[in-house]
Order: sequence, then structure tokens, then C-alpha cells
Amino acid sequence: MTSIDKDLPQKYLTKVLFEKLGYVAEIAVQITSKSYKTGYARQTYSDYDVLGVRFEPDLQLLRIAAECKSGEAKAVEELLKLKGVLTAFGIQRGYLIKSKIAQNARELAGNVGITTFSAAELQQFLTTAFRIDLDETLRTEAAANISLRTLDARFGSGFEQLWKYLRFEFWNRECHRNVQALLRLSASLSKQLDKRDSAHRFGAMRVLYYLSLALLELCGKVIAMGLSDPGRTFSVQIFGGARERREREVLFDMVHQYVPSSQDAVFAFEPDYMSGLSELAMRLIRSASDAAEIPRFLHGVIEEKFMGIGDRAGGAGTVTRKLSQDIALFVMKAAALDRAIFEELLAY
Amino acid sequence: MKALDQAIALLQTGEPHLESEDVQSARQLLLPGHYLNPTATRARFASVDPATLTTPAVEYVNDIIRGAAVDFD
Repeated sequence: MTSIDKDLPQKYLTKVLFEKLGYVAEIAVQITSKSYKTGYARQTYSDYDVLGVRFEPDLQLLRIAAECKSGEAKAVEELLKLKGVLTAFGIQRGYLIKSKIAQNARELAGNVGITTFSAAELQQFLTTAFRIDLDETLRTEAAANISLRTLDARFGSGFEQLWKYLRFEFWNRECHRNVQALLRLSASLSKQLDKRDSAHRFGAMRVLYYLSLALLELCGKVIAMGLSDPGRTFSVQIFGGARERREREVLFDMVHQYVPSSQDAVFAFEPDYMSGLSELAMRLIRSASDAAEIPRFLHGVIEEKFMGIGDRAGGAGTVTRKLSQDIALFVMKAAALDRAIFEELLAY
Repeated sequence: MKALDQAIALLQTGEPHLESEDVQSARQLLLPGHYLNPTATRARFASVDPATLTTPAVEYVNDIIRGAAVDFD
């Protein structure tokens, strides 16, 4: 996405629509996969122009996505492509936003469960249903997007591996892998993070936001699969399920025979942070309805403190704030981060 | 073991096993200097540094087993 992206105003307004519907929204999310072609490499399938996520009070993850186009032609083709993307990647609802939408495309959209808005309809809906000042909203979102891109680029230049993970991998991986990978990456970068650099604090908050998404999704699996013994269910699901955990245990035992006993301190099946992570997960599950609001609160803190959008996090409840800070404190301990890295959040 | 079988066959009959799929092993037996005697082998091994498993290497293997490794992406 660049500053000359002519679809941007529609993306901004769609992002605002998603937020009004209770979702945390993000623009230009890449859909990628790894495959062997000439070598093992990342392939990009497509992207979500706008992706919205939220958690139900029982921590079940809901995702919606929009295709935003400024042109008037090819609505049917775009609709069918969007339907394919929604189906392939398990997105619950889809929106097609175009300058104009032909009637035959609207008929088809109704049949396949996709909501269509022409640009004028979207503007009218936002104005009447949510009393939004469109000009002010577009100005605010455009300025916030510039701040986001600037901070993101600065963070990415210093922490390329982590930046690439958030940009290309996070949305295309299972939640248990995301939890472990983000904690591992955070720990490996702890010495380079400079608490005085706003881009570093911004990046750390972004990691915290994405980690909360992955952890809450994992907690949602625990609620859905084994609430009678949540600790045991969590210890299985953090490795991807019973079969995957068992395969990893067997592999660990085999490799362990060849690892010198002097390395036992670093060679262990479960990472050091596992008991703390499990305890945190149980806390989130016990307060599930408040925990469900954590991503919106963390995203609000990022928008408010780093992107200059006023009062985005203020509406969060006390328990949601406390749980968000608990996640931050856990990450600080697990990854050996300085407390000041999360000063914007901990001061909230 | 294939090499040993071939060596025994060569000593007994002067020919490698005809049914052997590994003709290459038989050919290698005939190359000069390919196989060292025990004394030379011990001397050669003594000059090779044993591999050490460093802490970063152990941690990396651990990450792969846990599903937390991202380095190869």
C-alpha cells in the first residue's frame, strides 16, 4: 500500500465500520503460505483490504474481511474472488465495497452471504447509523495511517525478523505457534530494544497486541475443548493438540540422548515460561468476558499513544485493563524486557 | 557391511557379487588409498576435533522440537 492507493478512503471508512461493529480492524493484511518451488519460500496468495477480528465472551474468535475497490466494473469477479478467500481461510463474513455495484452482483452477493456497499451507501450508513463526521474521520484515519507506517518502518529497520513475522506470518499460522514464536522472538531481541525510542515501544506494543490475539484464541480452544481440566487442555493445545504434543515429546526424548548433560539447563521440553503462561491463560479463561476486550483495549492504546487518535482505549473496563497489564508483565518476565518498554500501557 | 561382503567375495572368487546392486562399493574397494589400515585410521581420527554442541545450537534444536523456531522461514 502506498500514499497513492486510490482505494484508501474506502479502506479507511470500512475500517471505521468494522470498529463500530465491535471489531479491531487492520488494513492490507497479507495472505501467504510457504511452499517448495525452486526452494522453500513464501508465496503471497492475496490480501485482505481490511480485516476485522473480535472475540466472543467465550473467547471464540470471529473474523470478517472486506474487499475495497474504487472502480465500477468487474463486481461479479471480485465478489467470487472474495467468496473464495473467505471460504479458503475460514473468515466468517465478507464485505464488498465499490464505487458502484451492479445489480446482478448484488443479487449474487445476497446468495453467497456477502454484504455489499457502494461508496455512497457506506458513507450514508456510517453517517446515519453511527453519526460519524466523514471528513473528520478520513483526516484522522489518514494521519494515523501515516504515523503507523512511519513507526512500523522504523521498527522494521531494526527488527527485521520480528517485523516480517508480524507482517507475513502471524495471520497465516496456528495460534499455538504464534504464542511460542512471538515469545521466542521477543526474548531474542530484548537486549536491542531501547525504551527511549518510541518506535521500539510501538513495536513492543504491537507484539503484545498480536500475542494477546494468539493467546486468547488458544484460551478459546481450551474453553471449547476441555474446561473441566483447563490446565491439562492448555498444556496439550500449546503444542498443537495431543498427537502433535506426543510426536514432539518422542522427538525430544530421542534427541535428549545425544545432548550432553551439561546442556540440561537449556534443553527442556517445556520452556521456562510455561507455568507462568499457563497461569496467565487460566486467569484469562476465568475472566473470559473481560479478556475478550483485551485486543480492542491494546489496539486502542497503540492508536491513542502512538498514532495520535484520541480516546480509543478509555472505554475499557478495569478488569480488561488489569488483564492486559498482566500479559505485559508476563512478557516482560518471559522475554527479560525492561518495564519501561510498556510504560504507555502500564501507566494506563 | 556391503563393503565387507564385497571384500570377502573378492578374496574368495576374485569377483564382486554379481547380484550386488551396489557396484560402486565394489569399485571403491579397488581404488588405491581408499581404505586405511587400523593404525592409520586411529591416527587420522585423533587429529579430528570432536563436534561440540553449543548452547545456541541446543536452544535452536529445542525451538524446532517445540514448534517455536522461525529462523528457517
